Amino acid sequence: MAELHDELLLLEADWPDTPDLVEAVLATPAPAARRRRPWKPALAALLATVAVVMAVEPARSTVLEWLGLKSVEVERREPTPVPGATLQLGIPLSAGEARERYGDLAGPPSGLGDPGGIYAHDGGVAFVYADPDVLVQRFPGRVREFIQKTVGAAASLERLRVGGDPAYWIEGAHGFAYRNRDSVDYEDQRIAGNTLLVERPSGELIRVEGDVDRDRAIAIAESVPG
Amino acid sequence: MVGRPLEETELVERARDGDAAAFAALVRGHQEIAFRTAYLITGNAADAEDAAQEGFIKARRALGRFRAGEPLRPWLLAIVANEARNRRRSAGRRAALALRAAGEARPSGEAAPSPEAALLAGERRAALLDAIARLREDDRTVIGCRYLLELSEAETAAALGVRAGTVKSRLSRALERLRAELGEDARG
Repeated sequence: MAELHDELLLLEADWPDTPDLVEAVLATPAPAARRRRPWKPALAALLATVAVVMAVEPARSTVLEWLGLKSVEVERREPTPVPGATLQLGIPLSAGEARERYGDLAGPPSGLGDPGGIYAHDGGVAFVYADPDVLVQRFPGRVREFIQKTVGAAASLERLRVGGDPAYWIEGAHGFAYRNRDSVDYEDQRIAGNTLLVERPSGELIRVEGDVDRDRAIAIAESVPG
Repeated sequence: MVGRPLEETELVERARDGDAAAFAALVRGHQEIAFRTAYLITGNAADAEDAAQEGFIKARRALGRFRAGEPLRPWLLAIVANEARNRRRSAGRRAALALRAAGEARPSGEAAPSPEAALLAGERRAALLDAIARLREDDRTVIGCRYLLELSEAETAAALGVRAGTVKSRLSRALERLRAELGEDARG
């Protein structure tokens, strides 16, 4: 065993290059600085909240640049859902009506069978499936971000590529809010489950949410026609 | 060796007080070992980058809970390794470690080997890495931490999420299985 031990001590591996993480790490909002004197708890909580909110604003453009999806704004903080808020799926349509109104955007993913429902909302098309329990949405590209994700401690965010296009996989419960084309503010935030977001070169955003794991979500997104 | 801990302690103190440059210096100082530890666990450079990055972000948030005077590296590695394991689990696949042997072994202080001996040594290094890559995950990780990353037992324990005493026994079993792997290779 000693010989093997000695050989292993001399072993060197050719590791992948270490990326420089400094900029990305510092792009996230800093926590409130430590205070040296004791505070009254209520005042401390209030000031900490104000500090986080102030820190989020200037960091936003840097965060977006780092994350790389133009349509999606990600905030790393605990979600603040509005009780009763639901995703507004919009107007139910038949497959024929959807094709007539939305053209290529009305093409559902292949491999999931016929959707249980098709809805149109704010220029986007949504396909609802029961088995697996999944929602697939296709949004046309826009100049500014229109989906807000709030990722707290209960969820993880992963960058990846789907069919060569930039994507996020968010696993776990997180905040989700949508902004209409003619609106300045986001709608009420709700809690979303596992979600895959893929941004195609055309600007189109594909969103897959539901009871699926990452690989299944990727397969679904890849099967959405171009 | 006295200067570095003092310097790091000072950086931690400043980072706790909101000094971004101080935290940046801590990231620079530890990002390589953090990334490689994550790579050892995920077997994938993109996942390792994400895990290391997220680990540093969480560490920054948790810096107020870090016990002053303790070594920072095991604490950081525990956070990063945990992120890496979460990513590996969410990927739902076995991490396949693809490491090549570096071109040169470390200086041993001995005379340079003959070209034939150097070639054999190179083949042996590649065989060792291949055999490590074939091991089950627990074995691969503990050997990787101790020998490839040269982590201390305490750092390895932090990265594996086990007690320091467990590292010794786990490493011993892993080495036995590595030896068996190499034996199979020899017969093949």
